[in-house]
Amino acid sequence: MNEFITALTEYTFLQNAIFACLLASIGCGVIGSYVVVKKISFLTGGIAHSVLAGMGMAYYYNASPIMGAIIAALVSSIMIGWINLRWKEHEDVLIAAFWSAGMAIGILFLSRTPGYNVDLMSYLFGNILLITRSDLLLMFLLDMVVLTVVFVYYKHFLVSVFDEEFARLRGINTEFFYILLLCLISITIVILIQLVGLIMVIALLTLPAAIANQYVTSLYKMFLLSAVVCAVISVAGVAISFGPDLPTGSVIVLTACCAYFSSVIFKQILSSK
Amino acid sequence: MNNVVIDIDDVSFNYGAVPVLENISLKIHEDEFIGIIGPNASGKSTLLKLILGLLEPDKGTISKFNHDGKDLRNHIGYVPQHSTFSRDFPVTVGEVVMMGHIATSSKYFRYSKKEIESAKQAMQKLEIEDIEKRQAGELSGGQLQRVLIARALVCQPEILILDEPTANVDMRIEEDIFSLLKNYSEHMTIIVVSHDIAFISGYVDRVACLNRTLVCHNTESISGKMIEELYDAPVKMIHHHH
Repeated sequence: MNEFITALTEYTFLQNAIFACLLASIGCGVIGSYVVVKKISFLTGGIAHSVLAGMGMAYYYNASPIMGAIIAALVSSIMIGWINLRWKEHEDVLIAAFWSAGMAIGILFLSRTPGYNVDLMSYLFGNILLITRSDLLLMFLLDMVVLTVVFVYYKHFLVSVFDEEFARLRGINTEFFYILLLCLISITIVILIQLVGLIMVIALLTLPAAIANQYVTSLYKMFLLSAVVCAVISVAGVAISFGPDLPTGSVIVLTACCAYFSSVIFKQILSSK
Repeated sequence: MNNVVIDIDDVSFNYGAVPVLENISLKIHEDEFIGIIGPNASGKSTLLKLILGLLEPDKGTISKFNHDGKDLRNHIGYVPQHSTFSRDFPVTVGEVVMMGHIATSSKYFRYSKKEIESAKQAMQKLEIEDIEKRQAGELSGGQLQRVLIARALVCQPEILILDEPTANVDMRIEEDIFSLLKNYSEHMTIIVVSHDIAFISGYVDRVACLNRTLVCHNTESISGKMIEELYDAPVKMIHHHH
């Protein structure tokens, strides 16, 4: 642990990694809470995996992969949302189709890209230690977008997620807010991909919020608590992985899982007393 | 007789090939307290959804008016059957009641002082102000029903529609809720759906008996034969005190 703290004062890449954890925790706390209370983690996983299509195309056309990721995430969330609203009974199949089609398209484009790019591995599994200043700036901007939209429409999202029928009766356009929420989820996915990669992103969008859900009575409190939980988990993951040189993304995800199961057991013991 | 506020004219509705409602005609008047009763799957909830505008009729029309004859979409308060939300949803009683203001509120994130005040009044009327900070999912059936009625009242409705408001509460609370509604019905049109004909007929002005078609719609004229027709089984006659 001491070794980690000494390294933290010396190396910019570690400082960047810690900043990245904190920035990611903001989006993760807020949007993860919506994913958990609306019970759409499978759908979120689908959007996350379909992001690979955008990255693959970006590599092929020699554009910025992260921009490709943002565009692909937005396009797939709007498409999944729109089709889902009209074809609700096949939601799980629809998600499976987007999930695998996104990966397939990504891999097709990558296979045609000359010289296999190693960066791809960081997007699949995350490599927080490679995060640069400009990545941090992008994460900050995306966080601001998410926070602004949630601040403006907090009440509308709350009513739509809690009781969609009531919201519709009060004249709230619940379909618009559903798709807007999916867009915010896709932006957050792009923020989190930097940390743990698109394959494991679902862990950070569900586990910290699910932990927070066990202790709070209001949605905004859930935002705050799950952001704190996410920050603690991801910083701990960086610290634990640093000494033995383990893949950071995986350690963060496993830390999150351990924290979640510990919290469930802790809650059980509390309620049985 | 007061003005007609809801005019259901020869309405039919099918789910796919299955007819759910056939040729329903019913006029509901201002400040009337009307019960819609019928066995399970008789189309009661579907009729409510049609009145609310959540579904469109396949045939016929439903017109709604407020006291000056204009369209009143925003003046209907709706109390759903409450089993739809997840028990661990992080929302307090106060926050649920505040949702009644969503259509008219102009502030970001928070509600205005005036809106909070009117929500507090609704909570006092329903005697739930002391559980304002509790999580909605922890409440008993009767408490939750009061919370949902308070939320509907916050919308300042001219018509209040309740779907099986006493399905999950015990007899004593059922009586509480209905006498409360009885009070409100003096200056509000109330439509309540129930499967419990014996209980409801003591409170409402009029009963519409539904089993795909409208069998009758007057408490005075309910006969044993009609109830048999409705429930497909002999039922004891009910005494009405009007």
